[in-house]
Amino acid sequence: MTHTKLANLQGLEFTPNQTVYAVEHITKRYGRGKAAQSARPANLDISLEIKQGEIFGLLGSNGAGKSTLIKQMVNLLSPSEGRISLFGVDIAQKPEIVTRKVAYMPQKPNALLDLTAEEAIYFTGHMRGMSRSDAKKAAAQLVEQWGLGEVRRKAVRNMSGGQNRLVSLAITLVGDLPVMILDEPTNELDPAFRRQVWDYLKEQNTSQGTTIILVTHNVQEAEHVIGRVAIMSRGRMVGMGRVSELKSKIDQSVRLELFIKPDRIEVCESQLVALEQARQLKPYHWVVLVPRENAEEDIYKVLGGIRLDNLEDFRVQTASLEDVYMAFTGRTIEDEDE
Amino acid sequence: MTRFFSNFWDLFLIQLANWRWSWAATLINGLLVPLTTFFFFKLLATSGNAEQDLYLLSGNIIVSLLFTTMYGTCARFSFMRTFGVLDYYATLPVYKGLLVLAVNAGFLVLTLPTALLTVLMGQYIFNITISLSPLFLLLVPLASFSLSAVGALVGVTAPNFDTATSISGVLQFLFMGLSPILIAADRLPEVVQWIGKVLPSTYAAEALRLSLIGQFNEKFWLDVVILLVINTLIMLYVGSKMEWRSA
Repeated sequence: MTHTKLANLQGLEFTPNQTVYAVEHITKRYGRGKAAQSARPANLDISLEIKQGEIFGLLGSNGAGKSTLIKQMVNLLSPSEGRISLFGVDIAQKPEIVTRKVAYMPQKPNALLDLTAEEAIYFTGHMRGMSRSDAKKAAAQLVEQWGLGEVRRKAVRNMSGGQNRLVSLAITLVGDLPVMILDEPTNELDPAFRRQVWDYLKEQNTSQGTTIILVTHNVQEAEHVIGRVAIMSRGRMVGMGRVSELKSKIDQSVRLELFIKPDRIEVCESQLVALEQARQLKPYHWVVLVPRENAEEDIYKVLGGIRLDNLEDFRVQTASLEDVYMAFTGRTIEDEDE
Repeated sequence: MTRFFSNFWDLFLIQLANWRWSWAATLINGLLVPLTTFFFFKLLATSGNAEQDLYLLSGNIIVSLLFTTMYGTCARFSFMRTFGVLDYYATLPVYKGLLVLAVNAGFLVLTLPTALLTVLMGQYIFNITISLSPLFLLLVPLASFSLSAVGALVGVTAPNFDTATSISGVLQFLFMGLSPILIAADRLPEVVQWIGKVLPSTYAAEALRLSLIGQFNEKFWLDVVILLVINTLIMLYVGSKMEWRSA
């Protein structure tokens, strides 16, 4: 069933380009009274609009305010200032709009841990309005789809981190709600399942028109799925736009990645710190953004200065979403996490 | 209305599923306190007064049914809030009061076997007769819900688990001291009797006691009506005021 049909059944008319979420000047300060005023806000003056059928990414390091923002969007946290509306309805005034339209996958799911995967999916589906038989069928199908068949009789608590994550994803998917908000959906998953998750989300978005809001650290993988992205740093939104637009803004650069031999780190470091566009990701791993014009010459200069025999490997690429992040925040995500 | 019952049933089954791995330990633990109390009273302080023994026996059952569920509900809600479990329920289209009712019902299923065993063993120890009417089973959820709702409110409002259970312990002590549960009302100071009139525990305890001695008289039905009114008001209050979102 497409979401246009589903939405009609649920009393909402969806039109392409309709605004799903409108976040207006949201600020969150924890605490009360003077303490709240003097505290550093968890997020500050955030505004954004998400349209029907978008895959929207929220990008930022730990503590950037992404989880705070999405908790506000699913009504788990009330903003200190500002307003959030979903399908034009103020969620503070009518909280039921969120519970009926939005499926939320938290970063650390702790509910239903004593149930089996099939039970957890079934109960969630039924409470979201599916009939008992449909919820049962959907639970059995999702368990198979996400490779949980072998552990179907185990309590979720006793599953591995990755399996637990897949159960949480299946719980989010059941009921086919028109909006999904996923907080780090691929954490703890192995590469094969990570790929399966991204492919599935893309497919769900294309075939069902589901609006998907993604919070992720996994920039390189998510880049192929996300249409528009908001970049957050230290509670503020520092950039927003289509991934291609943002990339084109910094596309005057070419990314040179250097992997230094462990015993030559110090030698190379002294040269790399002198370069304005060089960033250290790990002690042995550096990225240099080289201007596109004269790129060949500049790359040759950098490599010549460091000398190829000090390197284990090097790569030359055009700008990635990670570079966009770096250009907007002046840091890599990993830098900020530390 | 169908949705209401159907949601309640799901939430109730989830609660039972939560307990399926640990119900035996809970049952044994629940039996320890009332039975130890009985033995000590029997050995050290037998009153020889059948009415007083009956108060003690019914009081113990009431304490187990009312306060164990209140404490348990408080602890459960505090745990759910602390560990983000409440977030899951808060993002589903379910009525908050139903979750309280389901947690309460889950605890009753756990404590009811203990209460029934206490009745049987208490009868044997004190050599008194207690009537176990089906009405007693219907009354149990009605009597315990109001206190469970108080427990849920404390669990959600208190800043952490330890504070929640401490407050619940104090409230339990107050409700027990200010309601005629282990001692007959006319033996309590007049001021306590007056305070007791506004506490749901007074009516819950009285109705449970009357049902245990098989007196389904006017007083019993009045208690039932008062409990129905209190429970409806508390359910509405919990539904509108219990804030499971963070501030």
